[in-house]
Amino acid sequence: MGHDIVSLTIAELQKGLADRAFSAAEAAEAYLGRMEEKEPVVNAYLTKTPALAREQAARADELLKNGEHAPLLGVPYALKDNLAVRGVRLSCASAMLADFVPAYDAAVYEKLCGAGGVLLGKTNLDEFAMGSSTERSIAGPTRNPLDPSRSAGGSSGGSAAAVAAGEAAFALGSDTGGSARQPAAFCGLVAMKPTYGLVSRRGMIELASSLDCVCPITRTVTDCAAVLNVLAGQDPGDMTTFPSGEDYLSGLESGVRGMRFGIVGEDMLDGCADAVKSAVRRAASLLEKLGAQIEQVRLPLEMALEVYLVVASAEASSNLARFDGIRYGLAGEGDSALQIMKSSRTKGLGDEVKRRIVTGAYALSSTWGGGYYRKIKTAQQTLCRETDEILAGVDTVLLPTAAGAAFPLGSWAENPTAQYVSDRFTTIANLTGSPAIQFPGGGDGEMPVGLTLMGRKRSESVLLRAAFALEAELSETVRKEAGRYERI
Amino acid sequence: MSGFEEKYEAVIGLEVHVELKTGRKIFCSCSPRFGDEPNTKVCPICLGMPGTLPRFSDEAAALAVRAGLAFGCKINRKSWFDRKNYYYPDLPKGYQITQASRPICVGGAVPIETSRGARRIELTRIHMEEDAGKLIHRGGETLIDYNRAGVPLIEIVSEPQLRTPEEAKAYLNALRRTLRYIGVSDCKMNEGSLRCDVNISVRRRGEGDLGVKCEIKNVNSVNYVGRALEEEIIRQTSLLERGEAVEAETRRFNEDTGHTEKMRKKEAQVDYRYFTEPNLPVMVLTDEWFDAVRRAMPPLPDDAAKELVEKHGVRGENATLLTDSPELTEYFTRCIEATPYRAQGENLFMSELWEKAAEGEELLSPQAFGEICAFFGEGRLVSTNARRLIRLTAESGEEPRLIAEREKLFKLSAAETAPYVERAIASCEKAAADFLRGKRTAARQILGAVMRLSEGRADPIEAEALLIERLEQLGQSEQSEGPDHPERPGQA
Repeated sequence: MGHDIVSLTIAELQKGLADRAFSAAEAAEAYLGRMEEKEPVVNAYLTKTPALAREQAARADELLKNGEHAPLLGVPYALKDNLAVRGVRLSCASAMLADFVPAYDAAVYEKLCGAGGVLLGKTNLDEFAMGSSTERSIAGPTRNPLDPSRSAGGSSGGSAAAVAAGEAAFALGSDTGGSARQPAAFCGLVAMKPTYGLVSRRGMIELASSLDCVCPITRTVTDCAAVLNVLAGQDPGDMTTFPSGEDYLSGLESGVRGMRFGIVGEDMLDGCADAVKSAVRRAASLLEKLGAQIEQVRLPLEMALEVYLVVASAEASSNLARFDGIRYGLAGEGDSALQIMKSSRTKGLGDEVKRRIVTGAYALSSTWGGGYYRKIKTAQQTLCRETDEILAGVDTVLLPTAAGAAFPLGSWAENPTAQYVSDRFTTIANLTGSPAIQFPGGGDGEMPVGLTLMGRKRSESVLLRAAFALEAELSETVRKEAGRYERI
Repeated sequence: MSGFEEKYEAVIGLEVHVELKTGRKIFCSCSPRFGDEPNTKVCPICLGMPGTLPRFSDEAAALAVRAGLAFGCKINRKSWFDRKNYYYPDLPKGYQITQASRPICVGGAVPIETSRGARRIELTRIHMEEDAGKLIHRGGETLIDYNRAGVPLIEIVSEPQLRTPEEAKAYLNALRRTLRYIGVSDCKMNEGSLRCDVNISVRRRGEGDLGVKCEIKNVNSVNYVGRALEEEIIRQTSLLERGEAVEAETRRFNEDTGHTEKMRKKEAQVDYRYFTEPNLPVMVLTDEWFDAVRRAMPPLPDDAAKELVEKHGVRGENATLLTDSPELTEYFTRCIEATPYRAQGENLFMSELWEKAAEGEELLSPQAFGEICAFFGEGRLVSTNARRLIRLTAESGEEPRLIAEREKLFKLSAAETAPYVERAIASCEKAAADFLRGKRTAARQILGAVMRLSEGRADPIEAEALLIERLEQLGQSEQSEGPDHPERPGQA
């Protein structure tokens, strides 16, 4: 019974609750039990909240008994530990915030509470969401549930691993340059990076404010639409948000007939694993078979990666300046304020975080960086213009999510900056503010590989519809090619 | 200092920070007041807790635009915020949100008047920003109060067009008077709601290039600004006279010694790593919004003063004093409109009501004031008693007439005065005798007695006439009765 519950999709889980096949309390216990079983290996959670989960599940049962409805009533989920929940430690996987407990809730948590969700805990990440492997954490690395010798991806590796391991029905991650889509690809899941401004960032610890997005990580496209429905919408507390006014669940099944797809050219797939190349080709021919038009496009991907590294580091260097040990967080020692700040930051922040702060400060500096940041912002405008032109001619663009399947843990220990290249297909959506959805596209015999559909701003419905069609066509193939699926 | 004026000239520019009177912080809803218990007006946003985002309210923009309109600035319909990055313990986020690259107002000018005549001091810009917290040094410890962190400010930057300490003071006073009058800020320098940084250099007259400038930080009264500048001009010219160089420095004014002191050497331009604040959208002022701000714009104090002169005949120097705040102007207008005796009313208001009214206290209702002015204008009260009646009415709140009657403040009629004249003559026999012997000035002494006996209620002019008449009567009757007199009356 327990194992059955944790393998259900959101829709199936809700049906079971509505039919009184099991209660929300039982569903929560099933997940909490699964966490007991899986955590020693997977290490997806930084902080578990069983008491809160039981309380919220009891409230959900109360509502269910009264015949009330809510979009995610009684559904157990996890939050990446860069999202604030009042009274629950918010560590961001950093020694700096190891004991920090916020007195406020993230906007998305408020929405999930309103939707009746049941919070199981806070998931692991690379420190301050800087990384692609969830190895740089005070809690140690998260392991890929499909193969514990491999990374679950990052930085939202804990969220993806929790969902893949049946330790949460869905999870929220964050995505600044691919941090939700890449782990979803590595774990064979769906993740939507929404249009910048569709989902409030209030209460999410910032990495790069102009690029950060809160993202649902789910098992299916339908689940993704259901969670996005809850998250989307304007929040006066985040002045960059706009109203949604859409039901992402409606029209999922309308198919792709007559839609125009751009496919990244073969030359852009250089360096990708064969499984990735064949997944792109197979998806393209499937789309044609389903009545869609296909054309080759060239996205400025190389430029995107370069621009991303500068913009993200620059904003991060400023966003992380508040961690000075004066008001909260790890407090250093010293006789002067400056010494205390230096000591707090030296002790509290990890190497990758320091590397990006230094890079970012350099880029912003007029003395040392020579106005590099300003030049890069001009390049970003060019990039946006070029991408918008391409997206104007098609409905969506199909491209890989990552160059290969999940890499073994420790792959980047020798050369930490080489890891940046793994973001090469994902950063463009963050820089342009466009939505992009990751879904499983195939496998390399063992592990799944991911595909991405990227579209014009506010075209989430189009992306969901196309991903839904491909998911239906591809699910058998993915199961077959990613043999590890069967072994969970 | 002699000869300075001919040889050197000072070049002065002021950077003035003014707290906007929105009643709340610029990016959250905390509403601190001066003197609050430290760290009680703070929230996760103004403390820079991780994950919190700024939430801008356009009240601050409305007041900034109001200031811009008052000084004839160009209002940028599109402006935005930038981050100024630096580490300091009073700065919660490690950066200040300010307007560096596109301020809300540019240009404009502040008219001033000094002994050198009327001038217009041009403004570079007015921009919005958030204030930092406050460090409190106490017994070797440093404490931080974040109540002020996030309070909305405008920074008003002048072009370096001021030439004398007097002009700098006039500029500050003009800024302050206008900003207070139009409700942009309280501008209380002692509470820090107006703070002034002074930039000053000195050069030989006729020289085109500017000298090396020093910045005097945070001078907190208009007079101190004047004194700090006088000091600094002497210091810099003395250096130049001795053939030494002025060092670029940040200095402070020591209020106890009256001298400026070096704080630190000015390093090369500080690198603040500015970039556009990504959490706030570009601020676009729509026509509708802009028109509403313009419609809500109060009159400028100079315009209000002009109206007082033209409409109510107020004297120029009083008109300036009466346009310290719109509340004061309004109170005066209501008072002066309550009486037809305009000149008397103006004098009584200035001597008895102005001081408190300038602090926001209305001692009398305009009706009561009008009634007292009427008694005075009609000649029923002497001026001392009119002033006294104002004070008594303010204290008790009773009707002025009742007080005047009870306190016997009204002037006496001639018939009522006559008995006092009799008693006065009787009590001043010698003076009366002197008068009758021709010493006219002796009447003064007797008149004093009349006033004293009547408790000031006799009209001195009327009483004097009565007294002379009565004394002369006495003289005539004595002359007809008595044998001879050594002196003739009228030959004092």
